[in-house]
Amino acid sequence: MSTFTDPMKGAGVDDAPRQLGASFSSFDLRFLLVLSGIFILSLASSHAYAHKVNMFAYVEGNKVMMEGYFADGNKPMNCDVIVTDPDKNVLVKGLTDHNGKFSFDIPKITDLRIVLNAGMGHRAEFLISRDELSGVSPTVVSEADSKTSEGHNEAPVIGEAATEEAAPSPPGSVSASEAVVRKAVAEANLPLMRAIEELKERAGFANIVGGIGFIFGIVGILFYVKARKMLDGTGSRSSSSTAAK
Amino acid sequence: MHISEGVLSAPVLITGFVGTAVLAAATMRKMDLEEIPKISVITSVFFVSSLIHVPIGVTSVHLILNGLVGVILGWRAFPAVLVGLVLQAILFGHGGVTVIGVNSLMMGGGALVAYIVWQQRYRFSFKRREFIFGALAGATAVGVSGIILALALATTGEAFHAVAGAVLLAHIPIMIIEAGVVGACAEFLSRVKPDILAGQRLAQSASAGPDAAT
Repeated sequence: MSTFTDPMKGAGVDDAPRQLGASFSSFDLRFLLVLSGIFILSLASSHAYAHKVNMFAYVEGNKVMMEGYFADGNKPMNCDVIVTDPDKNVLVKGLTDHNGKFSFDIPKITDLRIVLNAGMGHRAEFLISRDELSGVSPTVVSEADSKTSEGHNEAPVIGEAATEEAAPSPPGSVSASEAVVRKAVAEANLPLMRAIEELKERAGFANIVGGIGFIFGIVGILFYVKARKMLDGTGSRSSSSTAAK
Repeated sequence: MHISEGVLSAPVLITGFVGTAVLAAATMRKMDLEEIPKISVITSVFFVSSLIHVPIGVTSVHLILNGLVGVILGWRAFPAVLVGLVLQAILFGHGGVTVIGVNSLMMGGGALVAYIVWQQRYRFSFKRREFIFGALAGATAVGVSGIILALALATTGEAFHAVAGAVLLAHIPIMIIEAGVVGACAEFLSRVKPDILAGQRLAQSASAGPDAAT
């Protein structure tokens, strides 16, 4: 970059008040390096993300638990949560608690779209697919049900009223033992899920450098186009009248 | 300040893109070769600035610096903000691709107003003029962006006054910080390298936009 040749010379024009090569390599580059250095150093030591609201949700028994959090660790309190089905019908409405959490009973077995509105234009959404709600395909659920109806219900029943057994399979109903296992698995996975969500959100160091690289790439292309124009003699003869488009 | 995807309706998003296209075209006219490095440097600064968190008590705010972009680049601030926001949307998921138009109007509008405020400094002459006007420009940029944000959200049926009040209240600390940062930068640059600032009246000023003086 320091050996940037002045396109003016090629075009035989030397009335430019400031040499492009000089201005680019001396001050601007230094200025940029210092600033980028400061920024990147400060990023390396802090959370590299802005006030973005995130959320994730998981199924536990016949409840859906959701949790929202801002990228800087704050919790969205008293924020609107709206749950809709694929046809945009509102199934559940509610507010997050002071921990940014909200839970609701599964309204029906369908793909659920959970939208968290944290105000000021911040919004996050999360999809829970049908399969997650039943955990297993409907046929398997009925099999499990037929097993329980033979009468082994010692395990504590999670999220299932015993009276419902005679009724046609209610939303999210699974056998007791299965419910226990699923709850345990969900709890065990929770930290993992959180970590994955946060990883997704984190602006990586590489992205920052990449962004700055992008900007320089655009500059390079602009310079290339301009230089070509000048060398071809199609551009203007002065340094200040070709419009960058 | 970014509006997330899915908040605004399609007509508002389209209006945002149209407005952004018009402003970008208008502010990129007659761009000098020599301006490009400066614009790129400031674009990089703006792109990274929103990732820097300043802890304030229990919460934290991040710098916006669209005022600084306006003070240094003048009318060229708009394309700089646009490029910065596009990259933030693509690389960090701030806002999102559909909202780039509206978000650019929001942040870029603030930057352009900051430049207009900054240009008023020639009407006065007192000590530390650059600091005062830089600070005013920095705070104004954030305030204007907040008002545009409230306007955009008002289209979703939220009450404009309530949203604008909440947004401006939430951004008071950042306005104060930005005022300090932009003021200090403006003062420092006016002493060290005055011709980098937008609309600086100097004999060898070769990098003012289409409007060397207001």
